[in-house]
Parts: sequence; C-alpha cells; structure tokens
Amino acid sequence: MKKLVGLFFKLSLVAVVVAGCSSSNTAAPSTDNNTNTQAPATQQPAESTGKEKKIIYALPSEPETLDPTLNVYSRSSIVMQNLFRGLYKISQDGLPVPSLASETKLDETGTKYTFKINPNAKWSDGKPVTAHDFEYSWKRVLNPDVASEAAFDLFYLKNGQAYNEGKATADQVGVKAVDDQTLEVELENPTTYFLNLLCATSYYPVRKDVVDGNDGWTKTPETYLVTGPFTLSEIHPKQKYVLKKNPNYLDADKVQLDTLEIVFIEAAEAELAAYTNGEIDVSDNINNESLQKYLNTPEFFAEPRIGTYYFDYNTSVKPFDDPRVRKAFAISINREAIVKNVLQSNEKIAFGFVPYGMPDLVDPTKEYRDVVGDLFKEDVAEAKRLLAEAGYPDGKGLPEIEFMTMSGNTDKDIAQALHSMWKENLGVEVTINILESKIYWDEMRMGNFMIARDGWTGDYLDPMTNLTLFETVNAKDGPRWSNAEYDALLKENREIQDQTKRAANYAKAEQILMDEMPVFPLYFYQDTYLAKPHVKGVMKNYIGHTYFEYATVE
Amino acid sequence: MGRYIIKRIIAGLITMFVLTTVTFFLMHAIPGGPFSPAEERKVPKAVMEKVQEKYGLNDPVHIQYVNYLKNLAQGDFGISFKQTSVTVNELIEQGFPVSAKVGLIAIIVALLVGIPLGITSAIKRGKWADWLSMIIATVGISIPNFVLSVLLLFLFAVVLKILPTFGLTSWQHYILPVTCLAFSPIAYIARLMRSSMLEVMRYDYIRTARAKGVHELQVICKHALKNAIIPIVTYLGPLVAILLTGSFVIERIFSIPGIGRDFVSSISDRDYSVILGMTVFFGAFIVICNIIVDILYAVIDRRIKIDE
Repeated sequence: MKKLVGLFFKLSLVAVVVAGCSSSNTAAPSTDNNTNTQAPATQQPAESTGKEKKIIYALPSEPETLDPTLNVYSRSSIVMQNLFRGLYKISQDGLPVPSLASETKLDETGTKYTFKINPNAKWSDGKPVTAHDFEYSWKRVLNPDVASEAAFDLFYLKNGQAYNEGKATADQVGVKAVDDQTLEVELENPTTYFLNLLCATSYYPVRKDVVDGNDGWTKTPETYLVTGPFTLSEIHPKQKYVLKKNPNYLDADKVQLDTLEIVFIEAAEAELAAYTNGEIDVSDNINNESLQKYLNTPEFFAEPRIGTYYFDYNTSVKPFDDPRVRKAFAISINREAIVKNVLQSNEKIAFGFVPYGMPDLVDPTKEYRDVVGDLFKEDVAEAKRLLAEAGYPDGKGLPEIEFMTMSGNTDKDIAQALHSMWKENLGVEVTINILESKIYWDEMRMGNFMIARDGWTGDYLDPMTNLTLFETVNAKDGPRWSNAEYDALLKENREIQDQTKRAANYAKAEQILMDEMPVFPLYFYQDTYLAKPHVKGVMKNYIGHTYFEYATVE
Repeated sequence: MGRYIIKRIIAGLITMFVLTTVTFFLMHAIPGGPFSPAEERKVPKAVMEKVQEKYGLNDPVHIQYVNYLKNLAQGDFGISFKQTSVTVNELIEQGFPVSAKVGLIAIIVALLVGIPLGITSAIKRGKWADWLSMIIATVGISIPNFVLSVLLLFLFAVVLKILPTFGLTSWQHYILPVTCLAFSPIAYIARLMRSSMLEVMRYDYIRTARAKGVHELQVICKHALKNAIIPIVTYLGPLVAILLTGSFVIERIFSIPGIGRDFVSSISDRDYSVILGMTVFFGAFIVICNIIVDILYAVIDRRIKIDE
C-alpha cells in the first residue's frame, strides 16, 4: 500500500515536470483535439446525408410513465403520441380523424357509439388489434385497484365514475367488445367532442397478455407493444429512447422517418447549446435566450395551444368578494407591455378565457375567440371608478393585498410588473409572496391566498375543456366562485348536440365569467419550437404534444 | 484495528437510523405531497384519494414509517412516486455507476493536477510559479461550478464547436463535466498541499536529509510528501463521497444520467421514497468513506494508532 501511495506521488511529480514544459507542448494536443472532437459533435445531428432518415429531439427528462392507461402528464403524452394510436388521431389539420377505427356510428341520442376496428390494425408484434383490447384498456383506466390518475378522463363513459368509485361493477361500464371488430361505447351524456377525447393517451389500447401481472411491461422493448407510428427500440434510462418506424402500423407507408431519437436534456441553456451545436434537430425547451436568438429565423415555429395563463382571485375573502374590485384589478394592467417587455415574446394577450386554437363550434374553420371577440377591455379610468364605487377610492381602505406566485423566473417577473402597474394605476400596494410549486398548490387548495397565478391547458377541442374549471364543483379549490347560471349553461351543453345552441351557451357563460371575473386572464399559451431547416413536417397539436408521424428530413 | 472498525460500523448504523428517522418525519412535515395537484394535474379529489391509498400515503405517518423501515431492512427502497414504474433501487443501480465514474475521473484529475500544483507552489515559494498556482487555486475556489459549466459549455460547444454538449457517449463527453467537477477540488488540494508542504519542509528531518546530501527530488518524494499528504487524505474522504454521488448542477447542465440530479429533483417533486432512498444511500456512502479514510491514516502514517 505504502509503495502504491509512493508511486502515486512520484507520478504526480512527473506530472509537475510535464506541466512545467513549454506551452507549445500543451497547445499541440489541444489543436489535435480540435480535429478529433469536432467529428463526434458534428456527426451526431440528423443524418440527412445518409440513407437513414433520423431526427433527434430533446425532452427535459424521461417521461413519468410509458403506460398510456396511467398517464396524466404532458411529457409522457409526447412520447406516447408517437408510439400509440387509438380509435382516432389528430390529423395534420389538427382535427380528429379515424385511425384504428374504420367505421363510426352514433345513434340519435348521441350517447351510443359503435366503432368498427380496422381489420388491418396490428400491434407492433404483428397480432391484430381487437375491440377486446380497447375494452380491457378502458376498464383498466377506470379500475379502482389500478388507481390511475387518468380515470377522470374516462368518466364520460356510462358508469365510468361509478366503477372508479366502487359503486358499479366493471360489467356495467359503457364499453363492450361485441366481437373482435366491434366496440360499443355508451356515454353518460351526448358528448359532441368524444371523438376528440379518443385522441388522448388514456383512450389508447394496451394489451392484456403483456400488461396483466407484469408491472414492468413498459421497461423493455420486448414487452412494450404499441399500435402507433414508431416502436420503442432502445431504452437508455435518463439518456435517450430510440424509436424506430413501426412496420406494422396501419399507416406505416405514410411514415417517412426511420428513426426518432428522443434525448433528455434538462437545462434549457444546455438544450440551446445542443441545438446550436447541431446535436439535436428539434428543440422545444425554449428559454428567453433561445427566443431572442431564433425568433426571426425560419427555424422558429409557434403554434397556439388551447391554454391560458391567468390569475385566480379568492372570492371568499375581502376585498375580492366584490366583483367590482376584481374587475378593477383586471382592467388596470397593460397585458401588451407584459408580453412584450417581460416575456419578450409574441403570445396573444387575453381578453377572454377560451384560448386561440379552439375552433368555432358552428364553423370550425373560424377561431372561437375571433367569433366571440374580446369580452372586456383595459381601462384605468374605469378601474379607478369601480374601485371607488366599491368603497376604496384610490385604493384607500383596502386590506393588505397578497399576491401569491411561483418561483419560476417568468412568474416572478410578471408579478413584479403587475405590482408596479397596480401601484401606479390604482395606488394599491401589493405584497408578492413567492412559493415553491408544491407549497404553492397546497396553499391554493387550502384557500390561503388573495390573488394567485394559475394556468390551464385544455384536453380537447371544445370550450368545455377550459370553462369547466369554473363550475362550482371545480372552482372550490381555486377561486371559490359559484354562479348558478354559469353552471346551468355548461350542464346544458353536456346534454345537447345542437352546436349553434352550444356555441351561444358557451359565449354567454364566458361573458358571465368575464363580467364576474373570479379569474383574470393575461395571455394565451403558445408552443414554440425550433427545427433545423432540413427537418420538415413536425407537428404540435393543440395541447402542445409533438408528433413525428408526418415528419421527414430532406 | 478490528475492534475499531466494528465500533465505527456500529456508530455508522446508529447514524443511519437517526438520519433515516429525521429525514422521514421532516419530509412528511413539508407541505405538499408526491401527488399534489399541479397546473397540468387538476385531478378530482376522489381520484387522488385512490392513488394516495394505493401507495399507502393515506396511512398515519408512523405506520408509513414502520412499513418503510420493514422494507428498508430487506434492502427495498420502494418505488419512485414520480416514475411509478421505476424502483429507487433501480434508480441507484442505473445512476450511481454513472455519477461514480464521472466523479472518480474528476478526483483523479483533481489529485493529479492539485498535488503537483501545490508542491510546485511550495518549492517555488514567492516565485511566478507560486503566484500562478495560487491564482489558479483562488479562481477555482471562487467560481461556482454552475457558472463555470455554462461558461465552458458555450465556449467549447457553441463558440468553438469542439466538444459535445450532453450525454456521456464518448470520451469527449467527459471533458467538460470532469473539468467543472475537478476545478474546485484542484484549487482546494493545491492550497492544502502548499501549506502542508511548506510546514513539513521546515522540519528537522528534512534538513537532516538535505545535509546528508539526498537529492532534492528524493527529499520531496520520499521524506516530505509522506507527512504533507495527510491533510489531503482527510479532505479526500468527504470529496470522494461528494463527487462519487453526483453533482446536481453538473449532471443537469451536461445531461448526465447520474443520481445527483435525482436526489435534488426528488425533493421538489416530494418523491418520498427517492428522497429517503438517496439519503440512506448517500449517508451510508459517507460513513463508509470516512471509515476508509481513518484506516488510510494508519496505513500512510504509522505514528497514528487508530485503536487509541
């Protein structure tokens, strides 16, 4: 041992001598390094020159789950939207189109669907996809023993919620495989957007023979059977997943990519470096620096996402129990200035709650937002008048206002901007309380807030996905607001199929929401991403999931 | 020495028990849980209750604690609540070798650079080599590694385009993370080595060796280093534990699939089983490293009798 230690010291001394040599010696290897290391750095990007068509795409980290029946996460959805297909899928136009279903029938009550499974639909191991696979999977999502967080997504099925809560049996759930090709689905209510829901991962099939009794079925490519455009070929935990084109996919002839490599890069600054260095082809973890660097280049893309950045008022505490005070705070700020100067971005500012990206129900070629229009406007004078009318002229008499936000940079900067605007325009001093996210949501749930930052991205193309947040049953963990007329309008929209009437109901409900203002919107979300010029056809759906089914490299 | 080691192991086990207990109850005292609502998860309470029940989170905390200890006694750290298909044992099995490999290279680099730097500085005291070494050492200690890592990333990957930015798939991938990890230890080792060397070089036995005409290289190598190295060995214990168990910042910036970032992110995710599993693992690792360092003392310097 002593000899070893001694040898180590001697080696160290040799290193001193080497280090003490002329600088030309150290420069030489570094020059060599230049040529040696450049190769791997530049060899890694998409092999647009080779035969294999490959795209390297980065996600911040591994998906939380690869089991579609357990999934409620956005990142996991992105991976699974490239691996699985269900009865329907999102087309390049952003609308639901049949995928594994070849025929769809809806009865006149609007509650009973009959789907025919395409006889050519296959699992990645070549076995046919059957209606039984769907029945098994949907019941698995709802099974109380499985305790899937995604169960909520399937409460549309008749007795779905009752089964999940132990009040009905699996046999009573409204999904039944009549034969291998025929799936009968019964809904609680006519749900005009049901086909849209079928494009979510929680409605995708998993196969009983690999899932049952095997908790680790998602961990190896051998047992991870899929129905979508790609198969999971290699799993390198926390490093990358390699997806290969699935030859058994129903639309395999239209899939042009051979390989999709999903690498995991957590830091946005590192992802920018990797993209700039040419190590990845598609990047959507965009920070402010990436935005400034690429905003006006052809590599930058922005798509609307059906989500809104907004703030909750706690309507159960003074002074925000008064709609006039709520409105005064909401209309005394400058949204344009916040988006331009704080976010330094180009998101659309919000004067309503239902976001862009949501098609109009009557004419889907139009945007719901454009048809309904703005539902309020910024007006400092009016805000002052409302505040005075509520008994707080120039903000005098207001209790100490606490504004709760999260520790992210953007959230903090927006909070500072709002603080200045309210002070300048209303004379109100607001205390900013910055909390770590878990504590933040806990405080909100318990009602320990006055104004709180919030955000929501919907799940399907119907304004219900956004407006349902403020029904009495759902608002009790947020703004604690209740409006019988609002609840009735949404309830009616769950029960009717007349889209004209439904559109009118939504517009009316949203107007109530914006008049009463239990929440105030700031801007509508959009998804931004960078794609190298040789990459074509990358698609972001309305929830921000990235699809490579239609992508190719030139 | 055998008795001493047994005593240290028992003390280590007690430390581990206290560590586990304190971490368990502190963790549950923090607001929020692994399945708390979030912006993307406005899941109804009834559904949430089911999920909590499945993972035993609805049980009283003391019951959860007893259950955890029972599993722990069998070497089972449980499953991750964030990635429910992955066990904490798997996370450690996959991540630790990666963190340890990067850390070990960083330690070797730190020793190979830091010790000679410190020795040079000591034997060339007051000269330019000394100043240069100490400037490097001061810079190394002052610059936080998150600043250094971003700086090096942009310089070598984005501007010069000579090094890759993420992952560990080739030897080039190791250069930046190892440099960032080793930078501060190099500085610290160099400073320690310098002061220790200066002290030893003043001892009578060194003067005697020189008077006997022993070559200067042999004086340094054979006589001075043996005593001067002891502070480095002391520093090496915690350094090994810190570097081998991964660095959150370095693993995050360079996308290294180690356990360093799992440990930190598990806290913000309230991933109870990962927090506990990693704490127990890190704790055990540090205890073992310290015992090894104590034994190494005796091996390097026979004057130290650890039994006493």
